[in-house]
Amino acid sequence: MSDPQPIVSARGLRKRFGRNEILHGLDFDIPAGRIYGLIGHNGAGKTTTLNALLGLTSCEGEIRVLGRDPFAERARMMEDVAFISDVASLPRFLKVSDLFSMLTAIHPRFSRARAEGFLEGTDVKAHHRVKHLSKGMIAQLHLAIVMAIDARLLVLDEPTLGLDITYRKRFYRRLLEDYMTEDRTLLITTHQVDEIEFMLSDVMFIRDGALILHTPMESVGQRYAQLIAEPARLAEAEALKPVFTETRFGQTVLVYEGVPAETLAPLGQVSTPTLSDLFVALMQRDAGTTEAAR
Amino acid sequence: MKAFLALVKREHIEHRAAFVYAPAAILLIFTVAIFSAVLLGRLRVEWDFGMPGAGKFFEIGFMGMAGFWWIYLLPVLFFYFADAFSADRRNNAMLFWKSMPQSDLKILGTKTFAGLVAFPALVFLAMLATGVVLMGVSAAMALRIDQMAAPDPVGLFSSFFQVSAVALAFLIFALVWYAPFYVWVGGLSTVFGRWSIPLAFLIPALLGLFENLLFFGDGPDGGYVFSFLNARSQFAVDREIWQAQILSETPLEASVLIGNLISNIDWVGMATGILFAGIVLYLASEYRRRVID
Repeated sequence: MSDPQPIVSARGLRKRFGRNEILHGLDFDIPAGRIYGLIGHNGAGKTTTLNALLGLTSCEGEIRVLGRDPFAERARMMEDVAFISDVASLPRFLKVSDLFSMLTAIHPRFSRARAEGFLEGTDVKAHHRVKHLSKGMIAQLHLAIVMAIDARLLVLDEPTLGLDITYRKRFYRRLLEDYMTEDRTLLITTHQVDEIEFMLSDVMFIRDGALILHTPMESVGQRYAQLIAEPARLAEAEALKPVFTETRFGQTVLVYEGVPAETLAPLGQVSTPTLSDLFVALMQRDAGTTEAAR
Repeated sequence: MKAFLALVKREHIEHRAAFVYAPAAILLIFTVAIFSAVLLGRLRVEWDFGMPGAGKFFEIGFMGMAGFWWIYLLPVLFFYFADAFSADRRNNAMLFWKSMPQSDLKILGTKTFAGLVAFPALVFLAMLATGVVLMGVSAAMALRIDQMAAPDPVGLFSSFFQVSAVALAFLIFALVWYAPFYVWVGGLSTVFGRWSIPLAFLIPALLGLFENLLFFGDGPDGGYVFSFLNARSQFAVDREIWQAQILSETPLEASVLIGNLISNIDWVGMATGILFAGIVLYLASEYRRRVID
């Protein structure tokens, strides 16, 4: 059963580095059993948001994760939260078997048998030292570790950075097939938006420390529409105030918010924008016209 | 407790070169060198007051090697603390450790425990092994040198335990005495990484110079800071009593030396040092809790 209480709840979340405010009062809830994508440019505040959520940095405002204050109770909270911040973060001096032995002792929800099961059929062997593994093998090992932790929230911050397309696809497929249940919640940040779009249930766009979109994926198609305008009808299309316009291979592509598809249909070819198209559209829209989500 | 021991074990895995492999290599080289010297007749024993018996030869040799291992341990521990408190930052590994349900204070506590208890215990084991080697050397020497009295096996084992007890007591009390220095460099390492090594000396030196600028001419020679550090760096024993015990013709009595050791300890200074170390450890853990880069 999904927990009716949100797994993560943030109210007025602010973070300053000196005089520079990085997060400008974020408000959001993440319910249980969802797969969230937190998407933004470099420097938009994604990692700072995750760090606040994981108790790695102190913030103004209120943030609760599984009912706990992450900064004050990080060690206790991490019994129910797993995260991968960087594929290269495993301690390099340990052998895989040493790593599993240590995790068995220090993490009450880690299952060595499950981790070993996830590694069956891979090139990662128990006697290998982490520093001798390739980047892709380290990613496999790290994923096996977090999937072997019976956590309620899994946070992935650019988990596939630097991996080739084969590893990236395998990484997300295993995550979906072997890990996700309705009791677990997943929060992912990545620049490779197209690769995770298929698995997301909700999306949050962050720009300059503010959320500009926070919506379930199924409502993206209801709120946003993309039009490839017929050249003869372009003026009419522009009159409907698109949030974004660009020219691709001689065609004019316009993205609309809140304009029904039936209204746009006579003007050209209408579709639901992909997440990356929507991201580009909303990131380039004037700051003054953006809205805080929900 | 299981988690604490597992974290100590990972310190052992990360730093075993200094506390297992190097002592084992030294022990091997020492064993080969000293046995070859004895067997090839290159070891001469000269004594101001006549040829010692094999038992006393063993005691003196064992005490000397205990001193060697102490001299080995002192700087190696210094470098361990300078490295270990910031080692988790290497290769972004800090993010992995932060993903574990273990507090920063506990993790730094395990590093301190490893540095002040587990690793010295390993070096103590190496010292005991050196003693076993020296027992064999003493027996071999007695066979080769006519004037040297043959060892009494019971007396030899008794000397082994007496010297071991003295070395263990010295190790324990001296490490507690010097713990503030080690935790100080560890705390600096948490913030400054490898620069903690020069800073561990530079900061007190600058404080001392600053104090002399402010209060030049007053107070003890060199100022209060230098005087305090000078006194704090001494873990003095009553040298005459120790020399008399070691060089006497009668077997060494551990109870005399340990009693002398305990009576010479500045217990207020010891307690203050422990408190200082505890405060530095806590501050280092709070810094680590707040800063992940």
